[in-house]
Amino acid sequence: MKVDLEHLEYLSKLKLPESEKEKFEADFVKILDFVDEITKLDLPEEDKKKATPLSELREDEVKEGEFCDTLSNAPKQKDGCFVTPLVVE
Amino acid sequence: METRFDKLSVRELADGIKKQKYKCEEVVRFFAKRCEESVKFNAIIEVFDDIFEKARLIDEKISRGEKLGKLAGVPVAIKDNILCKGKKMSCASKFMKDFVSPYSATIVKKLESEDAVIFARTNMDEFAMGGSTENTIYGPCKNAFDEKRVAGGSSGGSAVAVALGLCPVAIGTDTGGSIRQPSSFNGVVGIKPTYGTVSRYGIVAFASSTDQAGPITKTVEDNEFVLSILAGKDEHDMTTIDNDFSKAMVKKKYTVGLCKELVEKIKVLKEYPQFEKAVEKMKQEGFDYVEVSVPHILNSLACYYILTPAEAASNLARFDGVKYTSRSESARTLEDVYVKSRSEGFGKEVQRRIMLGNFVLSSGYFDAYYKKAKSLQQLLKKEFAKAFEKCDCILTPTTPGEAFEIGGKIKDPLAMYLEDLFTVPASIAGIPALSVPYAKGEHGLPLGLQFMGKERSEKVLYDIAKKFGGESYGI
Repeated sequence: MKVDLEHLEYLSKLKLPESEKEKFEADFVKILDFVDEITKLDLPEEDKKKATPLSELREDEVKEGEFCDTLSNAPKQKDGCFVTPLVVE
Repeated sequence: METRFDKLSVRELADGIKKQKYKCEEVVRFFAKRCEESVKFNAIIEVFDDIFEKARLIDEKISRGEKLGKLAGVPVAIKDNILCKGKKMSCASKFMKDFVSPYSATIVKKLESEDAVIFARTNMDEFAMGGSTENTIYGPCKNAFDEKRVAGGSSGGSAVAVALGLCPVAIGTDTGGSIRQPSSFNGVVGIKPTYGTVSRYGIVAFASSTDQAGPITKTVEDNEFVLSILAGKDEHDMTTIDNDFSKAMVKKKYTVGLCKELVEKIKVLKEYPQFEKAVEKMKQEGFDYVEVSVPHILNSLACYYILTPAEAASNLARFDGVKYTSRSESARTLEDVYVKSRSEGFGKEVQRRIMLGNFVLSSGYFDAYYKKAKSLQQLLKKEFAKAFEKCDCILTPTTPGEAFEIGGKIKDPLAMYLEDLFTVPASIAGIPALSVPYAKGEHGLPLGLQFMGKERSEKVLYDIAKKFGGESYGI
């Protein structure tokens, strides 16, 4: 199994240190080879079609929630907003 | 002589406080001192600084003649991924090391409403990913019976804390065995309840479709007592179910199932003679035995290592360097904020699981891996349901062996994953599974026996374990 590490880093918003890439890839391939057994299983049609059953949904009502300061753990905040670097030039 | 509060059951401890045999303050002081004396085990990250104040409030309430809850004054430790308002919570991750919980988890509120003292937070594998409590910024948690060996994980700190008598109860979370495996390694009792029994609100999500919290205690009685308090439907977690398990019927005689697909795996274990002896003992005590089949049970592990990384990749996307405590100092652009904060903040195992998850969800692989694993999960649920038509529980060892040495498996992720062979099936199927200590291995370390049951059969599992006589070793 070949792995496109760069693509996975991109999807994961992660960057591995160069020195760790080789070992990471070797371990990764070993794990994929292990879970690969699943691709060879012949499963009954009904299980293939059946989606995960949804939980029972509650009524969509406006309720008094508990006040919770969502900004309290932000690394940077200003005037009640999260601060990020400039997004639009 | 000082009362050994760690030798009392949870009920006895609360009753003693209510009847003013001793003060809650004495109880809290006793356990805080034990934590201080056991720092080298790395089980406890922090004993909360308001425990004496809380204890005094409880003592005052009692002296005023107020009625107190079922856990009056009982110190309860919580795993470091459970929110308690105003307290730090880090998931043992560098990313979250300065996070302060803005609200409390439903289970914390439930414990507090029964007058428990939320006492300390316990060490764990980062974001609950791991089976040894070595993936942690606080240093490896050590096994209660051998400091050179692992605590198990990911709720290693919770299991070791209970085993060492640092608190009478600790709460863990279990996604694929994270309560049961460390309980087994440290000679204590742990349950992963039926999925949905315990609210996940205020617990940091790893894999939402299998995450469950549960108690770790010294005895089966204590475990049942505390789970009955934690359980219940919660409007903040729509996957919760009404599982009033304590009202379930118990039987005089039970049928124990041995899963034929697992028997071959069990027979080759070093500790097979101990398992065989336990089966013999149960037969002598009047349990019936039957062979059952769960044809795809051995595929559970592969299924688990596809589904849970996929969910983790999605759940951990929220840690972006904008909302939660950490942002890379060198980040200049928004993309930088994401990539650098995550790469610097997450440990290796967490990064591996996120990448695995994104692999199985990515274009070209989704159908072959993720969708197939979801189908397999449905099939496994049906296979288990069928097996439980013939028996009240399925018996396995909790782990393939005793606690392994610190450093022994950490460099080989697949070897670590294979440790979960017996615990993962119940997680995938959403059924309850209880681990109780039953024997010692070749190095004299505790071994756990696992009882899996059908949905909502916790009461039956506890009853079987009591009849079997599973108790903690005690230190």
